[in-house]
Amino acid sequence: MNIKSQFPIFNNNKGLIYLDSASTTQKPEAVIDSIVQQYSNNNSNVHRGLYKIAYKTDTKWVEAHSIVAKYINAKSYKEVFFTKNSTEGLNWIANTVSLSPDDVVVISEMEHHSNVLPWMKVSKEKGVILEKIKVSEEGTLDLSHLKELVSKYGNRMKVVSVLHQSNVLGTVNNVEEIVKVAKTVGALTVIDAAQSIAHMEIDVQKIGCDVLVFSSHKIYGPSGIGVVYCKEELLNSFEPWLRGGEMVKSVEEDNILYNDLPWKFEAGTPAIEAGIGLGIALKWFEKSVEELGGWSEFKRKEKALTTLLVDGLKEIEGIKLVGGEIEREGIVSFNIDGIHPHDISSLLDENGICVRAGYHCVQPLHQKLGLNGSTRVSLGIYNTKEDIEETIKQLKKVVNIFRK
Amino acid sequence: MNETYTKELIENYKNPKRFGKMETPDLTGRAVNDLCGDELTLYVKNEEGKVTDIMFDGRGCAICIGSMSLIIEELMDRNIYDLLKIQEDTILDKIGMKKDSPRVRCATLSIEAIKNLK
Repeated sequence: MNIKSQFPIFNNNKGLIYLDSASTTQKPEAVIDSIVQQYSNNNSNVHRGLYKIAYKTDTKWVEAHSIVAKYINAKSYKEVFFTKNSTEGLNWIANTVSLSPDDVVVISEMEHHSNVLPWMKVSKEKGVILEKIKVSEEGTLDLSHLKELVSKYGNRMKVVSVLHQSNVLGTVNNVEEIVKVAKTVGALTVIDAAQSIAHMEIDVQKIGCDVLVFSSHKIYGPSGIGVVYCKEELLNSFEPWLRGGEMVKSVEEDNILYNDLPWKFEAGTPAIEAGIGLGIALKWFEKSVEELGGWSEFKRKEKALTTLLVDGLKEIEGIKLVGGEIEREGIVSFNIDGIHPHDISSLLDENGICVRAGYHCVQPLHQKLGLNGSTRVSLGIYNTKEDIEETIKQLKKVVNIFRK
Repeated sequence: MNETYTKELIENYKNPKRFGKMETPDLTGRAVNDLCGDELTLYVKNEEGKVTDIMFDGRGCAICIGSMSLIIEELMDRNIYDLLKIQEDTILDKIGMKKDSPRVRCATLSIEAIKNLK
């Protein structure tokens, strides 16, 4: 099965080698078509109209939630509501959970800014203590430090919010273990699955977390739509953060009757075509993984490409990978002595190769590791052995420009 | 972009001219690119409104450091007030970069440092 040919961007940009899927993934034709179809055939608002096309849109909107729920093994679509992206999901929980002075929120040293800044705000405003699980020099999360924090704070620890897969290191955290440890003191557990969602099976019940967030655009879906999974009993107990249309059944002088779950948390007109497109993207992705031979085969292929990339990079004089001998899954960041990441990125772009350069929205980790940014290569379902080989070849040419 | 990465630019990046910190400058000009954290500081000795010595330090990509190095010799002996009127085109023309290049800011950080002299 030719995956690349299903993505119009590769037909419209001959020779394009896209290695920035950790930033955003390209979109298959099926997803792009679904957006056009929604606007062309059924365009109308959700939960409002009584006419046929509105009914069709409503059905598709609910169906998209059901597809997501099934994809992450939530108990029902009531546990899934749509946001703009993972960032909004993390801001939602940080602004929703009840916290008092001297309560403790735990994040980690490898978090994306989106799981740092909302908690910093809460910490400052409410006098909450913000702790960070340490990252070893190798680039792995130090779970013994989490256990120390649990012993130190006990049930003052109210929230543990960590990412599933690092968008810099490519490592996957043992979130099941993290949730288990956090639950010994009854902390609310939040998992940022933005990066892992397109690389491994996500089962919220198996992870056991209270909240999990991800973005549609990182799993071949449209941008502008994100997902919050949250346990139903918690959603019932939470007051909505955003208020307006759609999230209420009735508004009287002193009495507001909220809408049913999950609509209570979807105030205002959402990105309808994008939400429906996310459902299509997940269906497409599931089918593609199946056609590639299932999850184990998908992961084996991705691992083989990652290994090819790591081995190729290691041949380059003066290269230093971010993180030591760690298990990277489709993401590798590096620096080359004497060459700035932006120069590497610009010169690779001359050959149609797209890689990310900078902090990747994770400045604290770079600072901890003493790095002024890095260059990152990240894989998507469309990448091939040839993509990696060409990239290594061009990277060697870039190095030669600076070494001559 | 390859036209920008000339041997001359790379050489200026690897061995920048007048690079280092000046201990007691009369004027300094600092510029930071928030996007990437690259930064330049320009140090100037000023006698009666004229540049009598100039140095710079900082960290950055080849375009950022190379651009500053490529332009710095021209700043010697210049009138300070003339210097502050310097245009971004001066550096873009010199390194052959188009105004719509995504890397314009890397090149013009040098101009910003000059304009920030005080």
